[in-house]
Amino acid sequence: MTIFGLLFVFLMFPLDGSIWSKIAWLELGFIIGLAWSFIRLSMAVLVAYHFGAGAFAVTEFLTGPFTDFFWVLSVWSLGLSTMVSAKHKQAS
Amino acid sequence: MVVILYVTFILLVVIMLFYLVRHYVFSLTALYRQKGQPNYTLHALSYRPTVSILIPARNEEAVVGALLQRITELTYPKDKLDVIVIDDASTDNTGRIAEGFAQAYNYFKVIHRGLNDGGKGKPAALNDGLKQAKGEIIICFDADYYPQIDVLEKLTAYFVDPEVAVVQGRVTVLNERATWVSRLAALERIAGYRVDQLARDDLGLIPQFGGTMGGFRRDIIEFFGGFDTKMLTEDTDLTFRVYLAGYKIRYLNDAECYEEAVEDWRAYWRQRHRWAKGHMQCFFKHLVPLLRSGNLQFREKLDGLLLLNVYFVPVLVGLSWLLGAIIFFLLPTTWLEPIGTLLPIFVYSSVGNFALFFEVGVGTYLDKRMRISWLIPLLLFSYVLNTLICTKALLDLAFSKIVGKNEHKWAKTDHNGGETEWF
Repeated sequence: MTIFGLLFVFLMFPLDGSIWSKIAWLELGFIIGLAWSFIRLSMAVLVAYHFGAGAFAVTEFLTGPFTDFFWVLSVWSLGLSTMVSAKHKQAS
Repeated sequence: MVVILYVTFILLVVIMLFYLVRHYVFSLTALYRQKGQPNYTLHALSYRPTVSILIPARNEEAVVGALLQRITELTYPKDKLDVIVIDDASTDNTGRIAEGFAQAYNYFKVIHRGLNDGGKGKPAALNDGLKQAKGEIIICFDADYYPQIDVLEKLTAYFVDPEVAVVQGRVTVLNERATWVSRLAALERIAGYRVDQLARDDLGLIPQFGGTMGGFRRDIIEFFGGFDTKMLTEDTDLTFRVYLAGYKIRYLNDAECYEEAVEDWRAYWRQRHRWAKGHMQCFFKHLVPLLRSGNLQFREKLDGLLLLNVYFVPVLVGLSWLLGAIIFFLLPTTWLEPIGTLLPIFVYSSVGNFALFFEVGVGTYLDKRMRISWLIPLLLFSYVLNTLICTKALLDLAFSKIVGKNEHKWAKTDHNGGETEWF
């Protein structure tokens, strides 16, 4: 979530669009990130409980980079589309 | 052994970092810099050299007619234009369609390559076309392309500068809505041209000739002895030959042309596999001359090196992930080492991988494309697929080297002309 926050602030805030819309997307991103982390943690606990620590390590290593990245990317691209919309309105 | 693993892993991380920085530099340049587009002088605006258009076509009956019709509508003076269609051993009506235009317009000419000579790839077809070309400037179009009406004026303007040997225009996907694959291909095109090529041009690096929707000086290609028929990406090969000879390439975002992108994963695989393999050929051909060249500045050499290496990156990402797994799971570790291994992987996975998607996002933002940016997360799939494609291309190339096979089969992309009703 820290990485999402940094990426969002440094790369999205300088773009055209309302500051409140950007803050709203940032907040929404944090909420989704938090929910995602809960789900991920629950899955990790389930895997560790049923299949042992080895399976937990493997699934974390295999899926960790993708699972976190996927929500960051999804929220960011949805937020970006609203900035695109703002730029489009500004141009027209 | 452990030391070798760690050193290799660190080296791979460093290479990834170079690409991370590169993506961010290109994206931020496209967003905030943009100093040189377009920069026509009065002389350039009135400059009208003789132009030969080369159109290599193999079994393109579904699309070639629309392109040839469009060429008749171009605003460039027809007395300074000749159009050469190279019918590359087509077994459909491509040759007949082209002949129809040649009969109707005296600046059209058709070269028919026989079944024995033809079908050996685009470079060979272009070389045949070059023999007949009379223009000072050669412009290439693939048969599925559909250019702006004033594209030649825009492209030729940059040739006023005698240092410029090649000019590349922008390619936009026409059949974007056809399938999910063509939508993702459109996103890749947006990033590649609207951000990557534009930033390279602005930063004085190495914009790449794309093999089509671009042009070059005839005397320079003749000096080179034509296109290298052994190369699967004759465009990248020409890019490096031009820079090594001390000339420049300019990219012009304002000159646009539609193309028909691939519409299914099989075609995507075949096309990208050829690109990857051809790019890798260029890496082995041009790496040493690039590093030794006295004609290139340091920043051009660095960009050239990163460009030559670009199709190895997905392989290296896969390799670093595998190495990370080995170090993490198999080697005896203290508490600190897993963090040292995992941290770069996790940070790169988020910040580093994000750089690539940020580039795509910047392209959609600059193009004011709202809805297509929703599809950016789906590029993760083509990202993983490209890892497989590039790995296979590298293995194929290595196998060809081992068995001493220098000829590579040219995988042609099929076009169905499904979107030509828009014209």
